[in-house]
Amino acid sequence: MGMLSRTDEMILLAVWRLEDNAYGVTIAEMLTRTTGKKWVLGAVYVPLERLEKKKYLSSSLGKSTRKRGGRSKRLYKLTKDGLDVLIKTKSREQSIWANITISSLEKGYDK
Amino acid sequence: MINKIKEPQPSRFSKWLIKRIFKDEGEVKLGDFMEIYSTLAEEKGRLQARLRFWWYLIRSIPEYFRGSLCIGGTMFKNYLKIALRNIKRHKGYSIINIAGLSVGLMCCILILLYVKYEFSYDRYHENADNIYRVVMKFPGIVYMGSDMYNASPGGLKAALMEDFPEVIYATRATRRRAYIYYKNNPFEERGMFFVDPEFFKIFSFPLISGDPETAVKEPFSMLITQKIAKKYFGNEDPVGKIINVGRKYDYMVTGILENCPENSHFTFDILASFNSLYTTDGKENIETWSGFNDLWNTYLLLQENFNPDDLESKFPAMAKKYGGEDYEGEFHLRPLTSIHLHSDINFEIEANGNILYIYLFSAIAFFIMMIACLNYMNLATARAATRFKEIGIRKVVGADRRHIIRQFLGESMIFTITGLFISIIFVELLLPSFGSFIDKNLEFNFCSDYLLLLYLICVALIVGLISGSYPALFMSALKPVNVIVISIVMIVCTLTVYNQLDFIKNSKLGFKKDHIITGSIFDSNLRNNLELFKTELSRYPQILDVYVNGDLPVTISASNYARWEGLAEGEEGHLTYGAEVNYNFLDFFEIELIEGRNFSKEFTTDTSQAFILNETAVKITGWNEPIGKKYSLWGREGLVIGVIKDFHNTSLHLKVEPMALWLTSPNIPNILNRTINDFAIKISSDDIPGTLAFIEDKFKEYSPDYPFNYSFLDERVDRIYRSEQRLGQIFSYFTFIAIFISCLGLFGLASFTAEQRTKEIGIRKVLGASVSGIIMLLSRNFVKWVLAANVLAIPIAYIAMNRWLQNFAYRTHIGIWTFVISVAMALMIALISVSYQSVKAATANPVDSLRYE
Repeated sequence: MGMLSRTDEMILLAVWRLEDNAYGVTIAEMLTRTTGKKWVLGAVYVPLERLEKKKYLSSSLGKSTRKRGGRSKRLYKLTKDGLDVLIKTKSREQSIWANITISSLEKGYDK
Repeated sequence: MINKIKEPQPSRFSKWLIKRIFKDEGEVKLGDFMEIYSTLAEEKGRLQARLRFWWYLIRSIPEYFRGSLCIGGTMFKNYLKIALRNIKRHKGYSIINIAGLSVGLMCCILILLYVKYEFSYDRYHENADNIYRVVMKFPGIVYMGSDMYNASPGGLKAALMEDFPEVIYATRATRRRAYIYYKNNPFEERGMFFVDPEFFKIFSFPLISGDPETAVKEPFSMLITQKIAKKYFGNEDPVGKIINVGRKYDYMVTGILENCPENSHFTFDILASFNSLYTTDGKENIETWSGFNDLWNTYLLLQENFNPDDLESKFPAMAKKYGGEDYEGEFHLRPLTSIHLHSDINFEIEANGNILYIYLFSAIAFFIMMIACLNYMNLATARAATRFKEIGIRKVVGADRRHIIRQFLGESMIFTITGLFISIIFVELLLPSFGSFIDKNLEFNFCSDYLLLLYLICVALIVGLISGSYPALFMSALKPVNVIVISIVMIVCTLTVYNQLDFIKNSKLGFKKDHIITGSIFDSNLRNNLELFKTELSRYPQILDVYVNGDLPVTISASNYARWEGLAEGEEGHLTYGAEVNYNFLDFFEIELIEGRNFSKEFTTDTSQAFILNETAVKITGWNEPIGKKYSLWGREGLVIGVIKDFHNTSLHLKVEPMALWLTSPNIPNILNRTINDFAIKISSDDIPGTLAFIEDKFKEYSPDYPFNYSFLDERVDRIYRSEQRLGQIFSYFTFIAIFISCLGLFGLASFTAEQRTKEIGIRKVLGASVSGIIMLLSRNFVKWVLAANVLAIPIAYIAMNRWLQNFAYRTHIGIWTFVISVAMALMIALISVSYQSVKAATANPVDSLRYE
């Protein structure tokens, strides 16, 4: 299991946060909310499909609504592998950032 | 039955696009997008949602592709990289190609917009395909060369509605010149129509306020457009206000119409209730089947899928039933949507378009695009020689034929797409001036017109495919000849059109047209005091002569069968123009009398029985001694007293026809019962503004209720040839563009040949070749190509232009000079575009080209 790219990491986290309601629209919305940058649908499909191929995500067809013109949703879920890779990433992240605060970063800036 | 209420949906095109791009099982992604759209529609309303959704989609597509490139598109990325690198590396080549393609595409888009506009006429009505206009044929009564008239009797509408169940609605629509009095000043409104209440059931012209069911029901009610509302009422609400027309009748404004679309075969400013005319003209004069003093246009809405021919076949019986056994007119139906481009009948409400020009323009667009494509092919082929190494290496590394073709095609696509974008910018910039030039209000709007965008992308792709496929597939010899052929044909065409225009301008019409002011008299007070008006005007020193109460040379347009002494009983006479003129007609317009005498007040019989014929009329009778012979026309019998030289009363498209003049007289009814209200004033060329001011003052004095509108006779004559003049200008512009593009191509080719032969030139110079010798060497091929192109171009151009000239009864011939000039021009242009490169190559230092490190 290699390292996750930043995009993959954010998408996996969004799927985790959304629990049973993770599909294209909600994932793009969640990413927009958490990153503060506008995410469009076109930007999430490719990484989602890639993560599914890597077996970090699994997907199933959900129910359709009137708003969607009768088309069903593709609902994503984290797999065991996906969860593991997230845990690994988090612990790696923590060790990289250990004991570093914003104020201590600012102190090191060479004026 | 899941849901009855429909959710707002994105446009069909965007759905189609999403399905194509975001392919997946079960259209899940489309569902996602539709959800986004619905949310947008809920929050922002439909209009904003549409725009925002498009923006969203446009941002989504590149993101998606960027993502997928990383996985599968390594090869594609490489093609792109190589293509871009090639473009950057060979800047001159790329600029020439992109410039040629974008100018070519620009012409295409402009012409496409024009053609689209011409085809959009009258199509915006909901029932456009089931609306028909009734027109009439009067066999034997020929006017301007046609016996079809845009006219119908006033009683027709009621008969149509009553007798034919397949006619759902019928309405009359008739235009009247209106003089509106506002704050005591007269304003002329040319767009006032009187319509029946059914008008709005047939046509879908939207109302801003007012009820279409009742707005034109009551007598003296009218609807006005926003434009008129603004003109007379400013920001006030005009509904319920009173407008006075002709200082006689008060009309009440019952609502406001949206401004009439310009792509309509008639454009209105005011729609008034038709039954107002019952009061002003008398109902018995309108609801009748005889008399065509006025033009009633009748439109009808036919049941869907009902064959109009079936209805037409019932018309003869109807004409007999209402108009009597020997009713002289025949009724015909014309589809509404055909009126603008296919109608060539008399008394058309407004000037129409011409399908021939559509064909012509499309052909021009096609040829210019061809030049651009051929250019690209030639340049790409020329350059392919230098890319053999690249292709070889690719093949060695494992690319097969398909990959190579794909790469070449991709490259040409990049060129055309870039060209397309640049051309769109050009179009945006040029559209206003192009629109005003062809007198149409063209629009270019992607947001509302995605079909157009789709068209354009298709055009660009096809162009890319064509121009890319040739070098990609064949890699054969250069063929710049075809480009030069098209250019030469276009030069010949332009020269011929200009020659013909010149010919028209300089050919003698047979009457004086300079320094003559013409206008119309509507005021009865002025009409009753014409002689006094005339005398008062004549006193002014700059006014040389005044002509009133008679036809002008350009208004003579009605003809009928004439009969004459010596014509056998039962033999049909000949169609002859009839002109009602005043005593001074011949002197005023300086028309030459070649035999007999002019009309004279000394002969009292002249007012009732004198004819003056033109030469053609005399020739047809076969008389040797025309003076004193019996002649009759329009039921008027008389003797011939004089013969005049032929003059052109119609355009030079038509032959001079026989013509008979007689004196106007108030006692004898004139042709078609029309009132002659033209006048003409001959002025000297000094102080024209002063003279005009004087005339206007006098006119106002006698006719205070009407505005003074005048035009110069020579301008009126010129207007007849306006479409030809426009054709000439358009031809010259497009020829210029065609020449420009082909020059670019030749320039590019020349630079390649020079580049390829650098070494050869270097060696030649070292061995003692002169600069002029090398220039000759490099230019020789191009001269050969131009000469070869002529062999093809000259017959094509000759045949095409001969066809066009057949349209004119009086025409110039295509002289040898036209071809000599065209060939010389083509040769010169070719040499100039080649010369820069050949001179550069010839004067270069041979050391630079031969040094090898």
